[in-house]
Amino acid sequence: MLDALAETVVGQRSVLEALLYATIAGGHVVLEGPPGLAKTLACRALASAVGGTFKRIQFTPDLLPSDIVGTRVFDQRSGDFTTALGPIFANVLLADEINRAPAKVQSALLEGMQERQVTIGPNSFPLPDPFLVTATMNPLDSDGTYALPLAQMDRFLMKIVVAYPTVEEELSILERFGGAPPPMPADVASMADLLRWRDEARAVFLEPRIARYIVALVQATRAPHEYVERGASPRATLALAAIARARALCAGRTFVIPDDVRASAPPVLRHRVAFNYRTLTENVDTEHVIAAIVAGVVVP
Amino acid sequence: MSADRVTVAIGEPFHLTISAHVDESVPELDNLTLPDLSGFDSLGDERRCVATSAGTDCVETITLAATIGGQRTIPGATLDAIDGRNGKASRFTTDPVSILVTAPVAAPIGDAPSNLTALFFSFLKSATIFMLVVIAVLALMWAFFSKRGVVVQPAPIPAPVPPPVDPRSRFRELIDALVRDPTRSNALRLREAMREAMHARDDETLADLDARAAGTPDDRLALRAVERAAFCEDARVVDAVREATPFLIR
Repeated sequence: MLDALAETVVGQRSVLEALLYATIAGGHVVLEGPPGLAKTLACRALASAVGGTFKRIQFTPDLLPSDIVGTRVFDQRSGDFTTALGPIFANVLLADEINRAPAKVQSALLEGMQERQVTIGPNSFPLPDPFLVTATMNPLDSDGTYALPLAQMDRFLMKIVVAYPTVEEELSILERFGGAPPPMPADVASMADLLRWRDEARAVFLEPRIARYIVALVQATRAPHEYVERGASPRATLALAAIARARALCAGRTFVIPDDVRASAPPVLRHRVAFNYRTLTENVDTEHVIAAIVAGVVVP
Repeated sequence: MSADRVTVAIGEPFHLTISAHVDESVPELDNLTLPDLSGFDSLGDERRCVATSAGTDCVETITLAATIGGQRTIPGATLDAIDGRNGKASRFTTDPVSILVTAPVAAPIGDAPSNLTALFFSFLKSATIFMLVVIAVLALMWAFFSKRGVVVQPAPIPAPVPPPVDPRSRFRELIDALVRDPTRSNALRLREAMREAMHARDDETLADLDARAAGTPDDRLALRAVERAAFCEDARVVDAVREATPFLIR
């Protein structure tokens, strides 16, 4: 699957892995990076690879919750209301620049992410399964944005920082996508495969020492730290275990090793830790803080 | 008006106090004129008025230091006010104060040699006491050891130095133990020894060791195989050890 996605998206291996792990773990992903780094392409490629539906919503300040979940429309012929389902009804939903919409719109999406269903009028509608939301945030243009509260960020399984490609990768992009639109992977796996992988990931063995390592990592974020205001919640513990299991499954293992946990820790923890004002005043890179916290925990 | 000293040296501070009483209740006496204080430096001035049942008592205290020697007279302070007895404007004047100002106090220059002498004798006295204490302590120690005799500690018998452990033989023992008894605990023991031999830090995982090429590639393959046995499902530990054995024997 990763190789098929890499045919479409040059580089960005960590983004592709994160999307796959999150899909298998049944969670959602935040992608943070400047525009033009193939975030949308990666999501579209994933949906295409599993034969799922893909929708994209551009979040804007004037967006309404009904623009996402759908609304009831009066049908003059039948004299009754019918429901028009919104774009949230997709297997892979790209919420582009989620922080540009006000809180009520963000809440409508996040409620759907959590409950896996939306309510329109008197009726509740289950969302498709699998259902993966990938939200993007542009760290450069923060004017006119609505920062997501920590409680809402906590609902995303991972946050991936999308980096610029290397010289070789960018040359490859130029060579492969200079003219025609990029080819989309198709029929790499089915939706049934995805659901089976999810069940298999849940059954991946977590040795008690590994489980204690996961807890120790999350607990380490709550220890007094000069740059940390508040640590990660137990939801982070569950998320870290789920991603480590998905990573182990993708590596062909039925058990988790310390590497699975260690590699998953930064994307699971970075958006769940609240940093204090000193990181701003002293211009501290929060990635370094997370890395230091993770490095401070003894590997089993 | 009064002074707290009748004789002062040049530059020596003293206090001049002016007291006045009026029958009315007033917050302060604006029309009190201080005397001529030429020949004195004013170092401070404090004025306060206290209301009483009979009117107001005002006290002004001036801290002065004389700059000129000799017998000095400070003229009285004046207060312009309406005399309540006849209703006419009057000037009330305090008594003057006489002060004898003497030459400034100098350090006794002639005392320096005597100070040095005193210092010398003080040092001599301290040194003598110290020497006496040292002699007393030495005498006590001599008396103690002469009774008991000096105990000579026998030279410690060096513990038998174990022969250096050959890392290979240690690994051999751990590998034999794992093959003989394929349990997770034995796999973990061997893994720990292998990590130690590859100088793995506490925070380093297998990927870190791969990244910095710790040990040989065979070492890392063996460690990977042992790690599988250490963290796999309980039911698969035996199989995982069997799969790891070829890497370990090599």
